[in-house]
Amino acid sequence: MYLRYLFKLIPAIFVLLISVRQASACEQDEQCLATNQWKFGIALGLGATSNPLVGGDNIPLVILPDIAWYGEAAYFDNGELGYQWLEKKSFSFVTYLSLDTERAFFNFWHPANILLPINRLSSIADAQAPSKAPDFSGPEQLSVSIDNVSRRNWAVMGGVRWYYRPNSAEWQLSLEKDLSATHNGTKLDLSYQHFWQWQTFRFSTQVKMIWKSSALVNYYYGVDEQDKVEPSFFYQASSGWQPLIALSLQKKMQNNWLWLNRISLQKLHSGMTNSPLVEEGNIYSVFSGFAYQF
Amino acid sequence: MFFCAVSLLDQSAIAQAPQWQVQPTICISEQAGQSCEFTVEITLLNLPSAQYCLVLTDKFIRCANLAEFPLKIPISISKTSQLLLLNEAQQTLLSTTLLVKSRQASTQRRRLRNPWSLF
Repeated sequence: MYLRYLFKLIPAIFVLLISVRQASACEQDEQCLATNQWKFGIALGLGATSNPLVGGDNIPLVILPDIAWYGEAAYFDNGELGYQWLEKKSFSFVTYLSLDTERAFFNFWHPANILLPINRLSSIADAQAPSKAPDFSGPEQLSVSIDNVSRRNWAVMGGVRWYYRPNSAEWQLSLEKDLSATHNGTKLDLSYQHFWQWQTFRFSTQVKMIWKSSALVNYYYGVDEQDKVEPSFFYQASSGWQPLIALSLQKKMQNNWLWLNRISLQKLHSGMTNSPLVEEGNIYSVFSGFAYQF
Repeated sequence: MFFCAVSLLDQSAIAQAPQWQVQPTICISEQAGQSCEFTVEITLLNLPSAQYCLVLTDKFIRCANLAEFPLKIPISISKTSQLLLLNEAQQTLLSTTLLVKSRQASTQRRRLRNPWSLF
């Protein structure tokens, strides 16, 4: 209820902030970009993000692109399209559009998502005809996996984000809502990141608390009659907080090369992990490799 | 003999051509697009006693008699501009380009997401 009022207030906040947007000089080279120029980078290495879903493959991290463009106020940064309304040395405020990465766990590169086999098509057609009762005849179903539930779609999230930057640290608070009516869910994200610089090494730790609404969690991890599985597997997923911690280490090398390392752990909440679609309580991610910035 | 006479006439004409010295002609700003303020000193050479006017691109600066030169003029520009010297008939006698150079090639912005944050 409160979130709904907050979203109604957003246009008024924008009008206020238009008048206070001022450019502030960027002082840290690592975080600064020249405006109106594309920045490209590519990292090659080894790593993976674990997939907590039943039947889900881990997401390999071998080639990581880094693509960014910043105009006077608008920006595109690694898939996020946004507009910066407030730019101060210690404070920033942005609005943005991005894809909900939750969908990536449903095997983005899995052939089933590309080829869409006939039995999947029939399951979707059946799911769209609620008058037709699911047919559970045949051998008893022992488990549910992402291969036998209905397709989950990508959601386009629209959000607002505040930044506060005390010395060598950064706080972020973001609030996102599904604008594509895929699940109509909401996500709240509070993050603290601290940086240490020693010669050419840059080390950072990040602690994050992510709250996901029941609409979002239930769309991806709930199981119901649309999934055409036995009713004993039906599950109503609920909202919850997911803490995350990440460590990263970078070293600047010669000729625009970087040595990149990152490791993160995200703990999933019980409203999600109790789903028969979920078999792990954590998401691990690790990457180590070399990057080149053009 | 004829060629020597022509050559002397040419040199005489060059020596008497209106000239001016404008210094400095380059202003250095911190960032591209920022206003750059500096003072230029203008010295007139080979010009008859009269009133002359200074125009910066399309903006009138001031008029002054020859006796008031050399003249120091404060100028504020944010991009490359033309400084013009006009006579009383509003004809352009001389022009000089004033350049603005920035310490940083273009405006810098703080990145809002961590690099390599796609995954």
